[in-house]
Amino acid sequence: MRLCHIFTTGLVGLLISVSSSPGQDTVLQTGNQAPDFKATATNGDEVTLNSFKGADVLVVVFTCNGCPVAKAYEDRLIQLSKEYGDKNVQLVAINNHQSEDVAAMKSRSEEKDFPFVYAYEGSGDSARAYGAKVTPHCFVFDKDRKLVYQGAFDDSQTAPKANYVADAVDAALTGKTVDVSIRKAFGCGIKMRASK
Amino acid sequence: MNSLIKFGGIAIFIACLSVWLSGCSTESPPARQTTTDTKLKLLGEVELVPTDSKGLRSWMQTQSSDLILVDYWATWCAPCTEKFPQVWGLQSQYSDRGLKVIGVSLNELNDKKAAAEFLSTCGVSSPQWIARLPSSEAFTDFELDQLPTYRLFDKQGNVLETLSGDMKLDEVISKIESHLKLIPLK
Repeated sequence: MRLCHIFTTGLVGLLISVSSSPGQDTVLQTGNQAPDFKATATNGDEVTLNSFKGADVLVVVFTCNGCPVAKAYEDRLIQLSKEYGDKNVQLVAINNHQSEDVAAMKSRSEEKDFPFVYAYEGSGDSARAYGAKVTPHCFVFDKDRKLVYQGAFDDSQTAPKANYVADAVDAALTGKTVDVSIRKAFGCGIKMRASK
Repeated sequence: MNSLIKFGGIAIFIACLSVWLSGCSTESPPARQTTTDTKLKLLGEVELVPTDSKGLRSWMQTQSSDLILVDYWATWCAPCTEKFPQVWGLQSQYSDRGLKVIGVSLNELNDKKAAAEFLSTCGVSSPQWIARLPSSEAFTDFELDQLPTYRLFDKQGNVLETLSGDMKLDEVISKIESHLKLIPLK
């Protein structure tokens, strides 16, 4: 009986480790609660995690103005936001870059007509709390704000074939999980202020 | 007098050519190497060979260098391109102590031209590598969290040290020095 328990525990452990990518060192694990954040949106309002409490699925994207990869993904964020808007999916873009500011973000938001909230959090605390390393770095949360997916928006900057965030949103909307819940994000390292 | 002017002109031409050949390195011009796999490409794009972690490891095992420094970079990464010439300059500084420096671009294959054009502005030798996989898979395959990443390997292709993010060249040099100390002198 004891051997059977050991075997089952080992098998469950193996299955859990296989569902994330092996060797991933992340702050948040799949199923963890979304950490709170406090950021200033481009309209001057303060936004927190609670500001989006009505959403069935929340996509948190760490991004910035300056990184070429982040810029390349702006249109994809806009498209996702518009496609899923009527399914009660919300997206919030958070910028922790120490040299950027709300004014420049407001210009970008207006220039590209972002349909999502773009907010600045200068301390870097939210990037640290989420374990966001680069821009863009995406986190998909379900209705209970449990983490469903973290990582790259899709598989390729130039010719995407696998839409990781869209698939995770689809899964979260129907109470399902994704096969691979942790993937590497690629982009510019987030230049954030040191923690106090 | 005419032959003096001619000689002076040729000397000036050779001096200018030497300056041009030294590329964009902020270090003194690298010493010319004579082995066949380090011929300088003077004109045209630098050849970029698609690879992955397995391919890189196999290649390392064919090399005679005791220590290999891999610079993982991309044209979209400003700290990468700023530092690339200086890191490349370490090749000439440490080649007699068994260090080999190579670059692996994380530009996607669709964006290979941009990577090759950047490398053409620097006095680099071949081989230069580029990820054969699309970005997210490439980052997973090479075990990268961000760029730049500087990674030291031994001659078997085992990882000795990984440094990543925007950092001072001194930090990279310090790691190179400490690992070279562990290699017995021939």
